[in-house]
Amino acid sequence: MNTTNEKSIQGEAIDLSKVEKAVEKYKNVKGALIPILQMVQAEIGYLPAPAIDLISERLNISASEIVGVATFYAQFHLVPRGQHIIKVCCGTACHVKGAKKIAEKLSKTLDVSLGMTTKDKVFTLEEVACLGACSLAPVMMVDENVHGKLASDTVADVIKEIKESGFSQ
Amino acid sequence: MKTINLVVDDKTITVPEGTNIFQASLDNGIYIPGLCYHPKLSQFGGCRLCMVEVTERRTAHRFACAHPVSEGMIVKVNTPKVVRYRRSVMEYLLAHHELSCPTCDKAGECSLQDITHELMLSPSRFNAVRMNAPVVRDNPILELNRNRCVLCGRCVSACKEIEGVGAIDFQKRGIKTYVGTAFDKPLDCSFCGGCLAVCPTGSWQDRTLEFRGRPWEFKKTQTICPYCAVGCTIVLNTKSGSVRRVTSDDYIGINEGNLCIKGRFGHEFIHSAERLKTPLIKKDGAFHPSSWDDALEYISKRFQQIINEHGGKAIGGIGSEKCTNEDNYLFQKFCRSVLRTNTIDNLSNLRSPSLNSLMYESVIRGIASTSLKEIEHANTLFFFGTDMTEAHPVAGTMARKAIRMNNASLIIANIRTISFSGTAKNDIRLTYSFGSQIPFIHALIKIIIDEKLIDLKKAESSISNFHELPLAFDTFSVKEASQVTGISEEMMRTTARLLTKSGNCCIVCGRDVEEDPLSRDTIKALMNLCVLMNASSPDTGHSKASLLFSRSHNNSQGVNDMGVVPEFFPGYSTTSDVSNRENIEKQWGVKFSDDIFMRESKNIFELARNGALKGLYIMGENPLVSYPNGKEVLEAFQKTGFIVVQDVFLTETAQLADVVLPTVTFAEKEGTFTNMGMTVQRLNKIIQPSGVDAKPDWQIICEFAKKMGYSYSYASPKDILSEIESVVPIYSGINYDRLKRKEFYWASSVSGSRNKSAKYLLNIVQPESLEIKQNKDFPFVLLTGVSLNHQGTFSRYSNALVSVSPECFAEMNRKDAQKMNIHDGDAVVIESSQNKVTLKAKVTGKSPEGIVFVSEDYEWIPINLVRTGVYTPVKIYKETGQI
Amino acid sequence: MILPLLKGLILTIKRFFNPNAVVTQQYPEERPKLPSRFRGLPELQIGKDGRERCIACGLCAKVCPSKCITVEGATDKITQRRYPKVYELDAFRCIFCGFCEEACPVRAVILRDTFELSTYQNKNIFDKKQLLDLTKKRKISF
Repeated sequence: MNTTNEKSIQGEAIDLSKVEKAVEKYKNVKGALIPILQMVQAEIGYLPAPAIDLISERLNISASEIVGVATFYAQFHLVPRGQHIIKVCCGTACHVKGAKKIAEKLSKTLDVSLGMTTKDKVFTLEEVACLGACSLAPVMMVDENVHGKLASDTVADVIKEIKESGFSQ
Repeated sequence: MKTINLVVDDKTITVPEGTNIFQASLDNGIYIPGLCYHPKLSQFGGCRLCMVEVTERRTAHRFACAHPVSEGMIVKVNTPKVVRYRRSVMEYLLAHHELSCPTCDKAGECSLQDITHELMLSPSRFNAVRMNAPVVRDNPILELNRNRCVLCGRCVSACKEIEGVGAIDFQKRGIKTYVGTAFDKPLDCSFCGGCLAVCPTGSWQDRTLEFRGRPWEFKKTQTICPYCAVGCTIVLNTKSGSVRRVTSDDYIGINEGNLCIKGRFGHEFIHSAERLKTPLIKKDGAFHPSSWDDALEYISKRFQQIINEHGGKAIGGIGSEKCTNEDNYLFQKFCRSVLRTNTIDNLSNLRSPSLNSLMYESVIRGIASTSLKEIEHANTLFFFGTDMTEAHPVAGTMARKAIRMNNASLIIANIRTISFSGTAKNDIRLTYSFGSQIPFIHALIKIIIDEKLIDLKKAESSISNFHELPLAFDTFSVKEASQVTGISEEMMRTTARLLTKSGNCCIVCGRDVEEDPLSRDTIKALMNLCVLMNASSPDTGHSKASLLFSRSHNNSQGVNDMGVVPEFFPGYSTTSDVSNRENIEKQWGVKFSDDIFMRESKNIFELARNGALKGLYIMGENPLVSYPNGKEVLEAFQKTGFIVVQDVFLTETAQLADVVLPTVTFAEKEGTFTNMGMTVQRLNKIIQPSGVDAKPDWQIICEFAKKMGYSYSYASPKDILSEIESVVPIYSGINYDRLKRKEFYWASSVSGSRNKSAKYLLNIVQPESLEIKQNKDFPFVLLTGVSLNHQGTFSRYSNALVSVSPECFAEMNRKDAQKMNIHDGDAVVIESSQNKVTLKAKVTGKSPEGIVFVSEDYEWIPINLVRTGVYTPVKIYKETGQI
Repeated sequence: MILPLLKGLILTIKRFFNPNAVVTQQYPEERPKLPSRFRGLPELQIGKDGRERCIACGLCAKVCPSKCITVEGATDKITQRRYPKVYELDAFRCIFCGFCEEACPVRAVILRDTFELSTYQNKNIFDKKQLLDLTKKRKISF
């Protein structure tokens, strides 16, 4: 693990020096695993296997334990995520208003199944329980923006709009 | 310790404070159902089955495993409410459970099954939802079936706490939780089988069992593990005369149910098809089967001829580190009194010739450990030149227990970086440069004196030659030592301070020190360190620091205790002493001729190489691959006219023999083994040798003696042990029948009789360090060591062990490898002045530069034929062709 | 006086010539008709895949009051299936109690109508192949 660039499973190069930096920062702190993981995820976007192996080696905590922690918390991701996170609300109100159809339409438009990331790493499609905007049902959230009162034919427009405007983000 | 009285199910019990209700009941024979609690592990509170009704100030329901006892507490285990609760918990557990009991090897000893039965659960009220998770079979030893898992967390805790590996953990959360490795990679651990031993259901399975029996069909008998020198108690499970699996018992033996891969899965050699079946006699270069009578007749005739022509001195004998004390005692008695030779030795003594006398000296002076248990009770652990994880895995487990229970400090010093899983609060890992062990120890002593870390006044009064010490250390400077050893001064000071911290200290002197050319002085220096640390300790009769000498094989200690060495009669009485000789003559009823005890400076192989030996009798050893200089052994064998080998398999050594006699394995014989903590333990005969016409070693020697015209009237090892009891002073008081219940600690009985007021003595040595001869042609030094997965001949005939680690690697430093453009897995040739071997390279940061490390325990890799001594200069280059 | 005698004789003669009233079975030419719950030799059943149904759980051996069953399990290296490497039944010891059939969790052992167990040897052990062959002859599988 001494080379700074390791290939991840996905085949792209990962800059492990960022991981080193995170480990270095919390070197003598007890119980620093979660802050380190957070820092690594903030830098890389997710927790790649080589990064976890490196943290395991440095902190003397087994990789299984680290992955155990990472899979326990919803905030950590072990697979790369897209630039934009689309959260489709499947709460009661949205469900009644046909959230399922919205989700289906989205996955068809983006050519990605629920919980996955598109091939070009732009969108990640997720299902969430409730966004707390029931009055706007059916609703979805793209990054920080809430799109309400959707219909299955307007969804594609929203995506198109983001694609056109949002690449700079 | 404060004790607490409480009432559990109308029974008043008294337990120590801090115990939980579950453990308190368990200790007093009251049963509480539970799946997740295990006495060896920390509590988890996950199964929710051990609910009991507790009345303290008020009556409430508590989980027994998570609730500590309090004075006057009343516990009711089976109230109707509690039982109803338990039943519904079980219903939930079973709603997911696979219920494949007929094909599950756990059925019959499964806690889940037992509790289901006990609670009389009828078909559940819930719809069964089966998980249908695929069974994980990614390694040849352990199988993980998640459908049977109840997420009790025992395996996770065992892996983390006992073995220190943490290879498995809970993954994901909620309903999706499962036990697994990171990214579901294949299990990469030490394969100790701890998960298997603690699993309350059939989630973890022993794949070496392969459905070859059901738990209720097995006859379980305890015996002693035949591999390393820890001497774990293992339980052999036999069915119709064959060993089917090995289990452990948490309540018997020094290991408390912990085993390593060899102990738990390395039993297949017992029924190997390649075992020697009949005696073999070599005629015209080929072996021919013969009868026992013919073979013994032939050997005795040939040996008689040698004795008549050249005298008994022309016969050499090599005893065995793997055979029992009884076998070895009889072997040396036979060699000395029948063959009339004192040219006997064993490989442990041949490899580290100075160890025995120093070991005995430390026992007499009360600084040697009297039991391996001292590791567990230590507050400071100092592993010097030993690779605990690889050499004595279960002793490593004991060390982890000390770290967990006593918050012990850990200091590991070695030439290479040693991986010891488990971290102590004060955890120091040192690597000293090659050959600088004495300056390192001296620096520690110097720091202790300079910084007055011990009570010097007290030390002066209890050490008779304390005044010599400042003189000897006058010119010694810690700074220089720091340069020589490559360890910073700061580190050495911290180490010295940790060592002298209050509490017990256990120093483990490892193989790397014992087999070093400077071993004599290093051990003396270590003894000085111990003496200093003990001298100032309060006079409680219990020494503060103790020295534990590591041994390699199951009976490496015993073979030396039994005097299969030229210097000592059994029990370390010197052969050069005439009074000892007369004493033995009287006991055995023989008369030794004077010349046989003439002290030879050469060892047995050197004598044979010079042509001084005409006959060689080897019992259960394979020196051709286990002696540091294989070529020398080969030449010795070629020079020797007649060789008899007694072994279980046709080893490399046996192939060179003229007569090979088949013997039995540990499961098929009785006797005693002495472990490296000088604890004598008894093994039980469990099965009859099947399919092979083999005999126990002691019986062969008895029959052999009969052919030579002597009668040995031993009916069983019991008779031999009672003779040992009377002849060998250190074993006096040993009783064969009592050993069945309790082990015998000879070191504590010897040092217990020591005069308490006797003064300690320092054994001042010069702080010299070993120079590596820089050699242009052979720039590397070949260092060898032990392996966790293999040891001796037995492991190579155990399929499970071979399939887990089929290959021996040459470990080399990253920088060296980079220079030569060698990558992990490349085939490299290691060549010395006399031989070469091709291995796969493993590039690590473990070995220092200029050193290549190869494990010695892969017997099929003839690394010892490459070696010319302990440290062999070699050259390494990339193999051009394919292996 | 003679009349009742004749009456009886008529019945006897009628019976003598009536083929439907013969009770003696011409064993072995004629096979006996056994009751449906007859317990003969325990036979190993064949599953859909053409292999033995038995999973070598050993419950039959455990429950057998006369200890006449020997089971040695093994793992099929390819399918990882558990199967009996050895299944032996000592017919001399078997008391045809049917406990094995009751204990079997997969209905691999059924006591059918095999009752001709005489032998010229002084042992009468049926091995796995023989016990399966009995079923094969019947051409039943399930």
